[in-house]
Amino acid sequence: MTVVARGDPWAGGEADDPVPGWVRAAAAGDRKAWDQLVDRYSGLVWSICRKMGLNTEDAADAVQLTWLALLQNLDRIREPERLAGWLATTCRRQCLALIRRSRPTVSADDDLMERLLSHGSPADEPLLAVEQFALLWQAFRQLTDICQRVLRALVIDPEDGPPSYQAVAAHLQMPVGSLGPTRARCLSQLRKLLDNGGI
Amino acid sequence: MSGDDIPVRDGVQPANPVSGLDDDGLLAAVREMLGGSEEAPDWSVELAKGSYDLRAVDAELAALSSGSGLAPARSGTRSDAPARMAVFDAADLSVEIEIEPGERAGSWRLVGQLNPAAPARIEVRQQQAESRWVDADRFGRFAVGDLRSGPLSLVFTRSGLRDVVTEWITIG
Repeated sequence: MTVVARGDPWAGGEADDPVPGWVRAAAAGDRKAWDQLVDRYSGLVWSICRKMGLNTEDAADAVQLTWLALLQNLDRIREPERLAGWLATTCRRQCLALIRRSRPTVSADDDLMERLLSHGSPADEPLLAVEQFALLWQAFRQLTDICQRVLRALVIDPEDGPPSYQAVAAHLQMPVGSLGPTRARCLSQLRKLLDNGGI
Repeated sequence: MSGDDIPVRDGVQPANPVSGLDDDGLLAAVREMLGGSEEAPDWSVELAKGSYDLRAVDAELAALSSGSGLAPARSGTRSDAPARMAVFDAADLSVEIEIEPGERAGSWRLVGQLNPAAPARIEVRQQQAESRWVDADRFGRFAVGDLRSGPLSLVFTRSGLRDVVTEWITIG
């Protein structure tokens, strides 16, 4: 598995993160680089707004405000390799502002607001969850293709309970004996990616 | 990111809480992440891409310093919708704006005040709409009506000074 050849199922992980280059290029006027940033992170930003409990209309606004904030701050992003975390934090802030405006009687004090929100709907998530969601979202996409497929197959919950190793191995067309070691290797790869990109 | 009951690898001080989970815990976190992942609708993606035209190169950013909850909730009716205020601060300019319901249903009116008071040319920017231009008078006052709901940002051009652009906010 150490030799990476064309067509190798273990290939597909990104050795070189293209995102910092896209951020710099977009700041310098390269529209195509901006499109690539939007393509890569649209799912993340949208998912976070939905995760914060916003309806489609408010989520749509929060998503656009997040992109517009990035556009205004392209040349101020100090750690472009951690863009997922920056987007998550910005998106959460925009979502809280939209939630706040629909509750005019609540104090605008941010700490109080966050405490209130952390104890009730619609944003009844632990406060760190959004940033960790973003890191995991990003790290997962940097896994090799086969690791993404293996982990996806392992977490699918069919109606009759979690899939057996036999079923997953058959689905992935790999020997059942290699599934355990593969799972361990992929999770270790994921852990390494998380540690590299951690906030 | 899941519950508190997920076992953590013994004696390991993780760089972040998720990578510190053991294999089963990490897999559970992956399940939660994949379960909570949605694709953004195409129109949202295209709108974000089109926003590239709204870059204000070389302008100084005026940050929102108060009043982030700018407009009444959509469920509010026009008659009971109070005006909302926001203040933006740049190094040598502060801008106070107020958003109130416009004459047409679903439209909004913006009145503002520059500090220090001085004339300025103001570009009113919204997504998917042509920019509008208004002037602040010598007292630094300006007003623009018939705005649509959604993100909005203002650019101020003053004689002999660097342009100032506000952070984006949502109205309506």
